Amino acid sequence: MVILHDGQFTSLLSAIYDAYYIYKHDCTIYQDTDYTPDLIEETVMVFTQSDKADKVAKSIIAKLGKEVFEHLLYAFYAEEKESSNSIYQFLKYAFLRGPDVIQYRSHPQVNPMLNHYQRVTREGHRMLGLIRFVEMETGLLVSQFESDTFLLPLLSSHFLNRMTNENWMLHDLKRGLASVCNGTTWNIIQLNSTDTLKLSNNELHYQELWQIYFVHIAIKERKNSKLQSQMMPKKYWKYLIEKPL
Amino acid sequence: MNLQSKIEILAESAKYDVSCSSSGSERNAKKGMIGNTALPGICHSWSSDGRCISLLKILMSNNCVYDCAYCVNRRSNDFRRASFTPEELADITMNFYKRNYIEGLFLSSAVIRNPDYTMEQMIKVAQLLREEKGYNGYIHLKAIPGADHKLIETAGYYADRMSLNLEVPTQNNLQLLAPEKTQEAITSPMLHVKNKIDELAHYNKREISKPFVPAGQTTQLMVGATNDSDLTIMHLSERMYKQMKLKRVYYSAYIPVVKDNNLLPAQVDTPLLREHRLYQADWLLRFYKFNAHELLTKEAPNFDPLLDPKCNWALLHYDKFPIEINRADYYLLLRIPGIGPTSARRIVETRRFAYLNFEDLKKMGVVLKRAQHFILCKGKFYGQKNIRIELLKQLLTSNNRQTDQLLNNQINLFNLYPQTFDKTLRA
Repeated sequence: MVILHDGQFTSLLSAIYDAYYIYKHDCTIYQDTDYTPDLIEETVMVFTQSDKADKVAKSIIAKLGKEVFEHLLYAFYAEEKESSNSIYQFLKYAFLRGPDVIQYRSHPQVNPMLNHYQRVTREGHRMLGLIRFVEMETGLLVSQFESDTFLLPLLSSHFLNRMTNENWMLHDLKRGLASVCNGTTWNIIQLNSTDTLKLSNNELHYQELWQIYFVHIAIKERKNSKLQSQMMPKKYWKYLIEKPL
Repeated sequence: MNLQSKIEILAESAKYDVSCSSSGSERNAKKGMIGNTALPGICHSWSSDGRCISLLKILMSNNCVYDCAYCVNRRSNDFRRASFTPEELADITMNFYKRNYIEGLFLSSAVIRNPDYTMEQMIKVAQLLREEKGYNGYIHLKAIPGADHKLIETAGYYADRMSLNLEVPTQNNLQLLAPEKTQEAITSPMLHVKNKIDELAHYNKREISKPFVPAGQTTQLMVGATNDSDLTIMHLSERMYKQMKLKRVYYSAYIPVVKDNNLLPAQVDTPLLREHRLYQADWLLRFYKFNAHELLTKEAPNFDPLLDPKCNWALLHYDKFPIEINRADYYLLLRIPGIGPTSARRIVETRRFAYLNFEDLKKMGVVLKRAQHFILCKGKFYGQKNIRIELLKQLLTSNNRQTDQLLNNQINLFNLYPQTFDKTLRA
């Protein structure tokens, strides 16, 4: 039995509920867009059912703790084919053995989930540095970026904590989503283009200063482009203000 | 002079300082202010030499009254000079920080007029940022040797981290290269800051109105400019960590910025690789609980350029291996080449649940290419059996991408170890 969900975390939780109580564990879980149907496997589609999702979320937090819940959420943000299933497999094992199994790194039901989690936190940490804000006429700071994993929640809580009285927007172009913050809370909205906004007067001045700084802080005798692109992969260069070469 | 040229000149002058980390301090944002600090630090970009840019590393001024032979900013160098006003620097920092270009400011300076005046100017920048601009992010201030201790203490209340560069490892060489400086003038402010940190550590956090140098102190040593051996450098670093409680010692491969000086070498052989080995050894001191005298001896006072210090140690103590990974304690695991603090911690955590076998180690992040020669898993050895040490050494040095990159054809393998190669070819 294959259970498909629609890509929401809540709908994954509902799917896990059904896997427990209706299908008695004899199943795998995927996001619908990642799954190619075959002739043999029976599939069923599950949408968010908030009462079921609530129950699962509550029991994860009660029995396994908040930290595990955060791990699962981040593993889900990896948005890989196997990430939903790895979360389900982990839960099956963790509900039997308790929250400590998160340290049982070599176990086949734990390891895949941790790998997905690590992908997200790694890219997230890298992105905390590589985000570049551009100041608009209204004082709004706008950043456009593309990332392999879904990072808006992780990035938003970082910048909310950092800048207490700025209005900013993080725009994930790959997913067409943006996180908008007014200084006290942030919300994720659907957004495709921000071309209508105008730059502030000083913006280009500071961009130029930064570009000059970037060139002159390098020691030319030690040029090492390989190391540079190893630390900062080229896929992230598109939205930087500086131009690495 | 416009800001563009100032930033160009003063970044050029600051670039030889290696330190750039924004780590070691954890502070939440305050309402109405901008900025916080993250404990692990955050890198924001990487320049074309592959070094990370975390802080806005810049000089207040490069108009120096000193004449240190190794420095680009020495007064006898015919060279463009510039200075920032505190307002300009504070404004640039705020605007760069807001746009997330940088994680904070690393302010250093050449000695303008005298050490006290220079220190005052630098404090002014920090004061402007903290008290008027509402800046709460990372600040790293360089202490100027010879400045009044009161001024250095004031700076410490604004900064997250402070540093003083020793640059030259021994007193004699320092006398030769930097006649205006003495080692005592460099270490005494360092000691003063250390004592102050120790003193404040006795108080409850709430009793102290402002944190004092929460991310500690660092220093920098130049490598390759003088004839000091790696052993001298490692002993000095160890002293710095133990007695001065420094957070970091940075090593900077000397780049011949001065061409016609008979005190300094015009060309240095593989300083980058040497720098790399020193950093590896430095990590062994700080995270692997090694002592300097274990890594180097008077008979072999320099690191092997082909082999990292940990592998080198393991080969010299091959009788201690192989180690059973299911039984060895954390500190013993750390001594195995290919196992670091993270993988050692994971091994210790995971083996509470199950006996670990060879395949499991891959999932812990162990570098099996190196570790396989030194471990037992469930009593079984997975490396090459009955191997001679020389051959094992060759196995460990071959196909090392990092070393190859740094070697960059600068030294020839065969010329470096004629005896070893003769022997192995004959065998």
